[in-house]
Amino acid sequence: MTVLTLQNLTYSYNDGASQRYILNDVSFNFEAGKFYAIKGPSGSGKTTMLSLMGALDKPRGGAVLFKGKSIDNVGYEKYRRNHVGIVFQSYNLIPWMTAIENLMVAMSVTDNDIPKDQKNVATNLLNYLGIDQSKIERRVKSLSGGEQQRVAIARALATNVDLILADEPTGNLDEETSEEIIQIFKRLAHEHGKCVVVVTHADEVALEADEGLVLSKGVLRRREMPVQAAVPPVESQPIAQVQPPTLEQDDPNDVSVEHTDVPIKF
Amino acid sequence: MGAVKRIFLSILRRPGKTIILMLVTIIIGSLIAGALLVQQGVSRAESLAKNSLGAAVSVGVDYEEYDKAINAASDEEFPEIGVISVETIETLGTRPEVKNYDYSLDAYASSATLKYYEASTEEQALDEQDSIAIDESNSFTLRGIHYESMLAIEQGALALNDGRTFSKDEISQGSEVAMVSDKFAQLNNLHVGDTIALKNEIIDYSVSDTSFDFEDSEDGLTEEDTEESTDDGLKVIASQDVNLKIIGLFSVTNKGIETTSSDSATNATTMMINGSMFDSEAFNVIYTPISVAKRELDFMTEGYAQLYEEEEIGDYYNNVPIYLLNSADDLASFTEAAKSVLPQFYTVLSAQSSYDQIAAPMNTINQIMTISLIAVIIAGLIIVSLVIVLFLRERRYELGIYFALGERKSVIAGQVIAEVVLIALVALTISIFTGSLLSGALSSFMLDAQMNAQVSSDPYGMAYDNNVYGEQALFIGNIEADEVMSYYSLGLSPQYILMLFGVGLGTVLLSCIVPMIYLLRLNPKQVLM
Repeated sequence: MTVLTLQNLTYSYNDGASQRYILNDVSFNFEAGKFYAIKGPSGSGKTTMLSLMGALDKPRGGAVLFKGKSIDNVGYEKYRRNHVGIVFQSYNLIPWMTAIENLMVAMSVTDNDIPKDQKNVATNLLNYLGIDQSKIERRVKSLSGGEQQRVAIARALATNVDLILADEPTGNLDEETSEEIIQIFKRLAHEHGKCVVVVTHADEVALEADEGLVLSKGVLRRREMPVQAAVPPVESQPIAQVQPPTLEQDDPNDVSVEHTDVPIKF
Repeated sequence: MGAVKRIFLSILRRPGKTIILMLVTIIIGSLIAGALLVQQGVSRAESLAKNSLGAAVSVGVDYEEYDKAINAASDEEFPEIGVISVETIETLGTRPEVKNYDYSLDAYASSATLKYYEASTEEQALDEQDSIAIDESNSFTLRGIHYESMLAIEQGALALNDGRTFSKDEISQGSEVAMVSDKFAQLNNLHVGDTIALKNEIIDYSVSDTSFDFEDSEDGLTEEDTEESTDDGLKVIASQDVNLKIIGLFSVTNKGIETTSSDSATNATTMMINGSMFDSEAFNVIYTPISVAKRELDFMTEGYAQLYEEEEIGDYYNNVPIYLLNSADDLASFTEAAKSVLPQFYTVLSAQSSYDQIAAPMNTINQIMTISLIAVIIAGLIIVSLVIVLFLRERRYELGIYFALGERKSVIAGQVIAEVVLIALVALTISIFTGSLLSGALSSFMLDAQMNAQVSSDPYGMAYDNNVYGEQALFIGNIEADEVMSYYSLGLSPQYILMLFGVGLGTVLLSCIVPMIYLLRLNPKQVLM
């Protein structure tokens, strides 16, 4: 199912006398249950594209459609609140709040149905993403980069959205942690049916993606996929569901992250 | 976690920022509180002082205006002061602001047998009696009044002790009846029903060659000189008997004494004017129907006109009206109405005009406080705005996150404003007390400075004299600077606290405008990506 559609998306700015195009008539469909990686050289407009997809900016031309409906019609604020979760390179957590409080802020903002025991849901989510109990009640600024990014991903998931956008999510992390984060994204797509779009310049992320895209000179192209990456999408499972998925059903190619060998509750 | 919980967490989890904003607000709040408290003290003193003066007014010559006109006029043509007609007085008396009114006329009569009561002290009175005995003849004021019940009694400056006040018929027919003070009656062994005999004499002072020639003697006027000149010099040209039947006795109340005298023991000039003249005068005035006084005044006017061979004497007497207004607040509209009716150089005299003369230090303090208040508010607006903007800049990631999470802009703005307001509420509560400490120091400093300024600009206290005389003095007291100052007090009233919170919160809320513009223009993409 198509979650997000880019329809003749154009973004440009005036560079002196000439018009400089960051995105030039870009069209693409992003499907549920898939993990996309958009690669491209610095300044190619990857971040701009992601910000348009996340309704943090407005395109100069074309439209972004969420499940077939223009996000202009949905309303940018409402779209961000209810339909998309964004993960940033620099985590962007509220530093004076604890990990769980950061999640609960997001939960308080969305109009989506969140189970009543928000604290439990948030705890399970954090546990699932590898934040153990002792760190849940700690202020996020005392957590490591990898831990903070896990909290940020948990926050993106906390509002029970179908679309996860990530801007260089592993950019500030070491190789091992990066790999763990990538696996989380993969699982979100494959096990929970999320549409995950990651913008990156790192090859190892792009190699793990179901579909690799390259943005260059304002044009988005598919790139030849490595053989191992072709994974069939699984049935969508709501993330806030009380009964968690068990890891035994996972794709054998997945690399488990910490704590995932115990049953998880959302 | 909803916005409300975020507000409290934000305040408590970032204590440094909270304390800085709070300290800034406390300083601004204290300055506002100080200024408000002093202003409130001043206005309270003003209203207490004015209330103590009552709502009686009169009309009289505005000598300042007259002096100006003289200075402006050519040497030969002096401007003339007109006369207030009885019609004018009565026209003003029908104004809606007027509760009651009267007008009076002072004439003079002398007696060789009646003693003049000295009010100063009993001892002094005895001493004075000796000198009075030598003087042989005493002069008394015959105060003719128009309102039979006597305003002075109605207003409590005098109190009826014995007998009665005048009747309407006595006033209209000009019956030869009188009311005198109990002290005067006691001193002269008079009772209701007795008749007092006075003389209205025209005296030719020019006959004596030594009289009143102060420059001849280095020691000034001595008792012997006076005696000599009295014996040798004065020649009575004409005389008319004034026999008045006493119908009532009154006592001069404390109010009457207060209004006719001044408690300025520090001021020698005022003592001289009020202490020996007005103090005793109130006890020696003989009240009569107005036509009796007018008759005596006419006799005197004509007598002296003949003596000095003046062809035209003009109306040199004036009726002195007293108007009791419904309240002190009616003064402004009454004054406005009176202006169009009164002859040139006349003005409405009130205790409030005496207040206005000495209110300068209070007004100065009030003005300084108003200017300070405005300055503090403007400075406060700038400083608090800057502090909030700086804090918001530091919080831009947090704000960007709220934006990215899809939080409504109104909620984000509301959260920031609520945080500031909560901190301000605590700060302003503290300011109630710090401000009153400040205002205590401030007002003692300012009152001292202003009092000194007042004394140096008017060393003899002459500015206090508002040309009030005769019957006017019973109603229109003088008030002095230190008396007004004595009404000055600082107190935490509900109005003050409301004002402080109103002005303080208003300032803080206005200070949020610039930060809100910053917040709403914040571009989450730039901040977060």
